[in-house]
Amino acid sequence: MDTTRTATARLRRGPPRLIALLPPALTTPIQVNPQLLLALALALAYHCSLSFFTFGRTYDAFVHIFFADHYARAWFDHWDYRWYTGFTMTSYPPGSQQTIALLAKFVGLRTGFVFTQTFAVLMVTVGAYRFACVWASEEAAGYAALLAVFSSSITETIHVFGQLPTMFSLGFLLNTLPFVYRWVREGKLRYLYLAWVGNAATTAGHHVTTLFGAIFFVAPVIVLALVESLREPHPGEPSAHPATLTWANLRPVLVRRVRRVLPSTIRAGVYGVGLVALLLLVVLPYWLWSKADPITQVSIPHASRDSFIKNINAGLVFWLVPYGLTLVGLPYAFYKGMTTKAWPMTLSLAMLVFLGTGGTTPFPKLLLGGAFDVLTLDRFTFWATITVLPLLGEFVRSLRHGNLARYVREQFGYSMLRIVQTSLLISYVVMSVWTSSLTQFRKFQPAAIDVDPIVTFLAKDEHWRWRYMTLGFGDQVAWLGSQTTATSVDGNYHSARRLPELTSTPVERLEGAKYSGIPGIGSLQQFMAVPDKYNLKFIFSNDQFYDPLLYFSGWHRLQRLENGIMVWERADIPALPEVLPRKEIPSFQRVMWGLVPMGALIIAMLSMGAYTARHLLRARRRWKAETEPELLGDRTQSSLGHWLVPDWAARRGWALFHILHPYITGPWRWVDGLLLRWSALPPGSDGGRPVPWQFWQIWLERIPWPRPAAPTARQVRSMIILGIALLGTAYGISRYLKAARTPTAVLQAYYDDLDFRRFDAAYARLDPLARPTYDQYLINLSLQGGLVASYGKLANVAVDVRQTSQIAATAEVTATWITALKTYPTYRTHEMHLRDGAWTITPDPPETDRPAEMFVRRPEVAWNTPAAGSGADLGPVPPASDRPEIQVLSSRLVRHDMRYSVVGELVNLDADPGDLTVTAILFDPKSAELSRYNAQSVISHKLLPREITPFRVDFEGVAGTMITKTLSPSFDPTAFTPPDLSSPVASFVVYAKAVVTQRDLRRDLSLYNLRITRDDAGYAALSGTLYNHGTVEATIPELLLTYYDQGGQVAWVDARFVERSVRQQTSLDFSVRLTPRDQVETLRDSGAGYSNQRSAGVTSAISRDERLALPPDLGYDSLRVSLNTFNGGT
Amino acid sequence: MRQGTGTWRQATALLLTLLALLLTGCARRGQAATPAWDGVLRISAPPLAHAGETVSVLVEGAAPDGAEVTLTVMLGYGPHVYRAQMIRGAAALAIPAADTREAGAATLVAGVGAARASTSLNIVAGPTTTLSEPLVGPRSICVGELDHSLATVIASDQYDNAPADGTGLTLHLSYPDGSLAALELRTRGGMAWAPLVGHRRAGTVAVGATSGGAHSSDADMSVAACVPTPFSLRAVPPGLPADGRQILTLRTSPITDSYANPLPDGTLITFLVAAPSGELRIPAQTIGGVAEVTLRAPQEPGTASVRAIILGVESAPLEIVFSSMGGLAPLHR
Repeated sequence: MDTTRTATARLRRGPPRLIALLPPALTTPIQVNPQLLLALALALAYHCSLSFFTFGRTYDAFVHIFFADHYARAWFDHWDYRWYTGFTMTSYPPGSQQTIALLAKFVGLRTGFVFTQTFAVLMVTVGAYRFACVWASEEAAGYAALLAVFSSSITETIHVFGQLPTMFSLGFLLNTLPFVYRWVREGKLRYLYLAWVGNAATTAGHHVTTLFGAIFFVAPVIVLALVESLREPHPGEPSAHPATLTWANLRPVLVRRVRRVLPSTIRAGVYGVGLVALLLLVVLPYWLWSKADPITQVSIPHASRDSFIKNINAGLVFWLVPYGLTLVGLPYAFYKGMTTKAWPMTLSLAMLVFLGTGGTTPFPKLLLGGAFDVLTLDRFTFWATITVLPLLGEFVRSLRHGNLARYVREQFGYSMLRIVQTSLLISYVVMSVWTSSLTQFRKFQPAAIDVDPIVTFLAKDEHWRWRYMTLGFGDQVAWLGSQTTATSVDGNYHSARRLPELTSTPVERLEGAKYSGIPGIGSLQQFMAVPDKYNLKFIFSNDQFYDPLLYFSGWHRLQRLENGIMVWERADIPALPEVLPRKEIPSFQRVMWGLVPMGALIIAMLSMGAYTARHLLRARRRWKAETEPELLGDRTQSSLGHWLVPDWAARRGWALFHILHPYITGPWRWVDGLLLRWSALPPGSDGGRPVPWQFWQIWLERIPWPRPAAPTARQVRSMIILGIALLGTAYGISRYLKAARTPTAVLQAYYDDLDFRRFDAAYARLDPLARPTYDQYLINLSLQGGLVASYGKLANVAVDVRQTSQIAATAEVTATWITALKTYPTYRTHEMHLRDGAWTITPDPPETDRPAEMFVRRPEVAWNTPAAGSGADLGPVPPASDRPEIQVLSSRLVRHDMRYSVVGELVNLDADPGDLTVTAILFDPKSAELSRYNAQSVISHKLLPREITPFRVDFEGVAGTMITKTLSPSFDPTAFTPPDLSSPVASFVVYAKAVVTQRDLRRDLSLYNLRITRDDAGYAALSGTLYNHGTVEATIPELLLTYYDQGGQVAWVDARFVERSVRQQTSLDFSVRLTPRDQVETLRDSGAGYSNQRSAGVTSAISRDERLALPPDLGYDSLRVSLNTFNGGT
Repeated sequence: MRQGTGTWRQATALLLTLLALLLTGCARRGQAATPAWDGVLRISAPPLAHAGETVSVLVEGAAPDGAEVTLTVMLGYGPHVYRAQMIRGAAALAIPAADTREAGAATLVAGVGAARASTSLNIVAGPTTTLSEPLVGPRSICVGELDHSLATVIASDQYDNAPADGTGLTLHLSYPDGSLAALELRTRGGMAWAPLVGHRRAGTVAVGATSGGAHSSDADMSVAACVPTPFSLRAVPPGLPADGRQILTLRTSPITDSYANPLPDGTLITFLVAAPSGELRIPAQTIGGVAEVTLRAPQEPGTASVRAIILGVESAPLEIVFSSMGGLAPLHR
C-alpha cells in the first residue's frame, strides 16, 4: 500500500526536467510532448511528400545531387573532371551529399535527396523543440516545433532554395545546444561528448553553420548557463548577505560570484577549444584547400545584399517571405525575450534581424566589412526565424490561454479570440503552402528539361571526348552534369571555378551569362571565340537569345533533340587528351574526406539516438521500478562490455583511475578552497537578506517609466481602420500614376507589352478606329523578324512628345534593344489620339514590300559529310572528311579605337566547302608570344568553293579583368577587355585551317543599288538594298566590308549587322556608316600566313572586279561588300 | 563505481578487438634454399624463325639427371618461361607457335641450378595477308598534273606483324574515264606510299592495293575541275518592262575547266550588275556547271550590264534592257 502511494506521488511529481523528449510531468511511462509528436508527423507528411514535386525547381538541389553523384561513383576521389575543367570536392563539406550518395545505392539520387532533406527537416523539428526548451516553457517548446514545420523560411529554404546542407547542419546544431547548456551548467562528461559529436556532425554538413552558429546560437546558450550559474548559490557558500555594498565587503561578494561561475566558465572554455578543434579536424582537407588555393574570385552579386526598398523582389524573396507571419509575433518576441531569461538569445535575434536587412541600410556593410560582399545575407534572416521560434512558442501559448488570450477575450469577446486564433493559424499554414509553391508563381528556373536525350547524345559517337556547355538551363545544368561523365567548362558551384576567364568575373554560370552584363557576355564570348583552347565542341542551347552570337562566332546547329534543345557544334576542335590534369592531395586527406565527416555523422546519430533511447528506457524502468519492483532484474550482467572484459580487468582499470584522480582534482580543490575563504564577509556585515549587487538596477527602478494601459478595443479598431485607409490611398495613388494618362506612359507600356510578347495588351493600346483586326495585327507583327525583333531585349524607352493638342499628339520614341551581338537603338514616330479619355496609338501602315506573286523554283546544292550522323565521328577530323585548301591572301596588323586587330583576306581554293578557323598571334621583339585570339564575328566562317572572305581578329585579354578600369558595369555586348601586352608588338602570324562542312552554306541575299552616300552628320555611308532571292527568310544579315588601300591590300574590315530580317523574295533598304581611314592605324603591313595552300597565282587582286570605288576623302581605294547570313528558321 | 567499471570494460574490449585485427596481418617464415648445380651449359636454337612457327631448343650440360632446366624467352611483349628435366646431359624444349606470333629479336636464356647459357632468335613476319584500305589525303584534288594527293597502305601478316622492308606491293588506280593504272611500291616500316595526280577527267578515282594474295578494299579520291575557262551569260527573257515586280533569270553557259570538266556543284559565282540605280552583287552556285540567278526588274527603265566572276575568271558582259511600262518588251521563252 505504501509502495503504491510512493509510486503515485513520484509519478505526480515527475522526474527532473530533461531536455530530451521527456515532458516534465510523467503521467505515462514514456510519454512524449504531444505537440512534438504532431509536429514530426506533419513534417514527414508535408515536407517529404512536397519535396518530391518541388526539389526540381529549386536553386541548389541539383548541385548537391551532382556532388552526391560524385561520391556515389568514387567515394574517395577528391577530384571531379566534369565541371570547370576539373575541381576538387574538398571545396565543400560532404556530409549531406555523402548521405545522399549512400541512400542513392538503394533508392537513386533524386529519392535519396528527398529522404535526406526529410531527415534534415525532422532533425530541425526535434531541434527546435530542444532548443526552445532551453529558453521557454515546455508547452511553448512544443508549439515551437509545430511552428518550425510550417515556418515560411524553412519552407522557402527547402522548397525554393533547395539548401540541403543548411537544413542538415542546422538540425544537428539545434539538437546539440541543450547538451552545451547542460555541460556548462552540470559538468557531466557525457554532455560534453554529445555536444562535441553534435558539433562535429554540424561541421560535416556545413562548416559555416558551425562557425556562425557558435556566435548566434551557442554563445547565447553559454551566456544563459553562465548567468544562471552566477545567480545560483554554490553549495557550501557562506549564507551571510551584506546589508549594503561597501568597499570592505565588495571583494567577498564578487569572489563569491566568481566561485559560482568559474567552473562553468572553465567548462565553456574546454567546450570552446574542442569546438574549434572539431571545426578544423572534421573538414581539415577543406581548410587545407582554402589555404593552398584561396578563393581569389570576384564575388558573385547576390540580391540579399541589395536594398530591399530599391529591389522590391529581393525584399520579397529574402525578407518578407522568410519572416512571413512571424512579423505579427515579432514585437511580442522581442518584448518577451528581453524581459525574461531569454535575453541573450533575443540579443542574438536582434543582430540577425539587423544583418538580414542586407543593403537596405549601410550598417550591415559597415559591421561586416569585406565579408559583406562574400556572404549571402539571407542566411541571417533564416537563422533569425529559427532563433525566434521559442519566443513565438510563448506567443502561441499566450494567445491560446495566457495574457494575450485574456486581453483579447476581455476587449473583443470570446468569438473574436477564436477568430484571431483560427485566422492566424490558417494564415500561417497558408503562407507556408504558398511559399512552397512560389516557384510555380514566379519562375526561377526554365521549364523542366528532359536531360536523357542530351545524355544519350554525349554518350554516342564518343562525343564525351570533347567538352560541352549549356545555355539557358538554369540550375538543371547540375542535374545534367550528374547524369554523364562528359566534361564541361561551365558548372554550378562558383567557388570551384578555376579558369581565369571565370574567376575574374562575377559570373556565377556561363549558361546564364546574359543576366551578368558585360562580364557575363564577355566571358561567354571568349569561350565562343576560342573554343579550341578549352576543347569545347558542343553547346546545348535552351535560349534563342544566344543564337546570333553562336552563329556569328562560327558555330552551327547540329540537330534539335527530342526534348527541344538545340545542339550547336564547332568544327575542328581538338579532342581532350586521354589523361586530364588534376590537382592531387595527400592520401591521408582523401581518406579523411571519405571517412571523418561521415564517421562524425554516424557517431552523432548513434550517440544522440542512444541518449534519447536511454532516457526513454530509464523513465520506463523508473516507472516499472516504482509500480512493479519485483520485475526489475540485474541488467548489468548482460552488457557487451561485461561479456568481453573480465571483472579483474575492469577492477584494475578503475583502480588506475583512482590513482590518477587526485592529481587531476587536487589543484582545483586548492583554488576552490581559496575562493571559498575569500568569500567570507567581514564580521558584522550580515544584513540578513540579499542585496542585489547590480547597483544600476536600483537606479533604474527610480526612473519614472511610463506604463500605459493596454489599448482598448476601440483604439485597436481605429488603428486597423486607419491602416486600411492609408494602404488603400497609397495603392490608389500608385495605380493612378501608372495608368495610361499620358502619351508617354502609353507608349512605354506598349513597348513593354511587345517586349514581353503581351500582344493582346499591346493591341488594346492601338487606336480602335484605325487598328486592323487582331489576327491581321499578329500577322503584321510576324512579318517583322530579325536581330532586334526576334533576339532583342528591350533595355530602355525614351519618349519625346513633339507635338500635341487636346486630342492628338506626335511622339518620337527611341528604344534601346540589347542583343547578344550589340545594342541597337531604334527610332520611331508614332501618331496618337485621345479616345474615350485614354491615349491610343495609330498603328503602323502594313508593309508594302510584298513578294512577287509567282511560284518560285530554286535548285540548291546539298552536301553530306559522312561524319554527320553516321556514327563515324571518332576524331578531331573524321576520316572521310577533308581539309579544304585555303590560302591567306593578305594580313595586316592595325589598331583601331585603341584595340589591336589583324585584318586580311583568305580564299577557299578547294572544290569542297570549308568551315574556317583563323587564329592570329602577336609576338614581341624576342619572338615570345604576347597574345593569340581567333576571328570571331568579323568573318564568314563557312566558305563555298572559290569564295573569298575577309577576316578581322580582335585581340582580347581575359574577360572581366579590366572591367572596372575600362568599362561601365551596364550591359554592352560590344564591350571588350583589352589584352595585357607586356612588350611592344614586333610581328604577327595568321594561322588558317578548315574542315569540310555541309552547313550554313546558303547564299540567298543579293546586294542591290550599292552606292556611297552621306548621312545626316556628313559621314560617308554605304547604302543599298538587300534582296532575298531564296526560299528561306534571312533572319540576321551581316555585311562584311573590306576596305582596300591604294596598293590593293586590305586596310580594314568592318562588320555591320542589319537589324531586320529579309523575307524570301522581298527586299530591305540599308545604310551603314563607313570607317574613315584616319581612324585605323597600320602597325605592321604584312605578317606570315600559314594555311595548307600557297599558290603564287592567287593574290588579293582576284577580287578586284568585285570592289566599289570609294571617295578619296575616306582614305581608301575601294570597298568590297560580302554577306554572311544567319537563317534562324532552319 | 559500477558505472566506472563498465566504462573500463568497454574501452578494454575495443582495444582487444583492434589488437586482434592487427594480428591477422602476421605471416609465417619461409624455408631455406637447397645448394645449386654450377657447371658448363650450352644452348642451341635456330637463328631465324617465322612468326607462328614452333621453335625447338636444345640445352646440354653435365648436370645430373632430373635437374630442372629453365628456359626463359625474352620477347618484345614480355618473357615466357619453359621447364624440362635433364636426361643424360641434355634437355629438349619447344617454344610453342602461340608464343612466336610477335616478330622481333628474342633472347633465349637457359638455366640449370646456378649455371646459365644464352642465345638469340630472330622472329620475322610471315607472308603479307592483310592490307589496310589506302589512306588518301587530301580526299579531293583538282584535275591536272599540278595538284597531288598521297595514298598510303599498311601491310601486315596474319599476326599483325609488319613485313620486312622492301616487300613488294601494287597500288591499283581506276580513273573516271575507265582507264586503269598500277604502281609498284616497296614497303618501309610496314607501309608503302605513292603520290597521286588527277589526270584530265573529273570524277572519282578508286584506289586499291594488292600484295601476294592479299587485297585491300578500295578508297575513293575525288578529282574536280578547279580553274574555269571563260564563259558567257544569257538572260531569260532577254528584257522586261521596268515594273519593279517581274523577275528575269540570268544564266551562265556551262562552266568548264580546260579539259571540259564542268565545275563542281556549289562553286560560288558572283553576278555583277551595273544598273542605272546602282551596282548589284548577286551570289550564286553552280549546278551541273551552270549557275543562274533571278533579277527583279527595276522601277525605272534603262539598260543594265551584267558580268559574272569566279575567283578572277570573268564572263563576257551582257546587256539587258528594261523598257518603260508603255512599250512592253516581247517575251522570249
